[in-house]
Amino acid sequence: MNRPNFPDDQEGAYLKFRDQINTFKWKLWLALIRTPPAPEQLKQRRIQHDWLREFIAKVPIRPGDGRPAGVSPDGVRRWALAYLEQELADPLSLLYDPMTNSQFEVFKQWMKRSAANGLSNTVTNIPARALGARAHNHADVEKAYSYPFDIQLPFEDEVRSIWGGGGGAGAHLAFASNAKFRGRDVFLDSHGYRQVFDIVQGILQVPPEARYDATNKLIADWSRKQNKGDIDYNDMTASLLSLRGAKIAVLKVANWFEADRVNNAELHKLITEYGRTTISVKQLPPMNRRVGVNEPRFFIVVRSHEGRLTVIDLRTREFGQLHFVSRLR
Amino acid sequence: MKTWKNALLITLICICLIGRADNVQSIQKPNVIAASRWEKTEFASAAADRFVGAMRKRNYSFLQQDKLESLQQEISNFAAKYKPTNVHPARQEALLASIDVMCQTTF
Repeated sequence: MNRPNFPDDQEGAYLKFRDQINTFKWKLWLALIRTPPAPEQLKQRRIQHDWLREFIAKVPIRPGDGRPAGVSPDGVRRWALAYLEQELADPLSLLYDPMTNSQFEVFKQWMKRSAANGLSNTVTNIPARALGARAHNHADVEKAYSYPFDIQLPFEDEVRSIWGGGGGAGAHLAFASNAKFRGRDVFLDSHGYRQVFDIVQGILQVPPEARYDATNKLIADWSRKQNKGDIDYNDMTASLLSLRGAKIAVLKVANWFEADRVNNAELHKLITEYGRTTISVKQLPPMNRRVGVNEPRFFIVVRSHEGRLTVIDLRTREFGQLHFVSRLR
Repeated sequence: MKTWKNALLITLICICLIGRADNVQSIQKPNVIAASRWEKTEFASAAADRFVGAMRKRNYSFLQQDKLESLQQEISNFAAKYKPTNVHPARQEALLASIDVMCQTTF
């Protein structure tokens, strides 16, 4: 059976590994406590599976649709149907047990939205769509992926978010217990909905009068008065600016493995020797370009006014947004 | 005549009850087999082996031998808490195969 592989991303796996382990334990638990289905459940499952089979059979293959390695253009439909059957029969799949009627309505709506992305993506999106539908007891389609979740766990923890999708990314839960290690995936907007980033609290919205502040003075004043916010992105100058006296320094490492080997004392020393209030991010690639080992991403360390440290992996910039991952020390 | 009829009725009821008991036993049989098989094959340990085997194939640089051993113990202890006495042996095999696929493709 040809299932697409999750991209070989050692760093991504490193940061999310604990989430993956806990997601695996949750799915294993669901399979282990499963009791033989009652006739009504069997009927409900058959109806839901039949709907999905008919739906997938009708999703069009569009020119330019992606397809897994080793599958010819003529074989995409056959591959998709085989993939679906494996999902339906897999005891760890979230389609194995029937959903409630309201959950299945949410699932159907999201599957219909996925269909706009072509057959291959629609099929590989099924696990993430099933997870979104099962994550709540309500039938609010727009809040399928929103916190808080109605997910019962067999261990002490809390689900903070859901991630995954097509192309083999699968469906995963992100847990409170891994929040600090995983870090924050941030898209900092510098245009109409201008934001600032606080290394502890995350993204903060600035008031309307400060959103188009080309000089950054209004934002700096607001941040100081609110006593929150550590960095701000200005797309016009392609630069990152510190707020409230925070200091920024470039950290010369290639990846998170190297960054995690630098201890806090060394980071403080770096800030003391090379800390500044602004840094250019012109070299960053656009968002729609695959970020790999040779791309000009780079790392910085930020020390807040309160003396807290965070290491930031600056990834991309495009459409007035700066994308980075921040991990608090 | 009435005694003969009563005797026949009682006999019929007994036959029905025995038959029902047989049915109950035949329904329970797979569970009994599953439970003994569970003990015999140590499913929890097998599940942990599959998990760690898949992780070795992923070849993650951050997973050293000691970390893998600790994960193996964690998964084994976790699965052992939920002995699925109602899971048929064939379904146990399917679950182990599914662990293989899941760990190799989505981790």
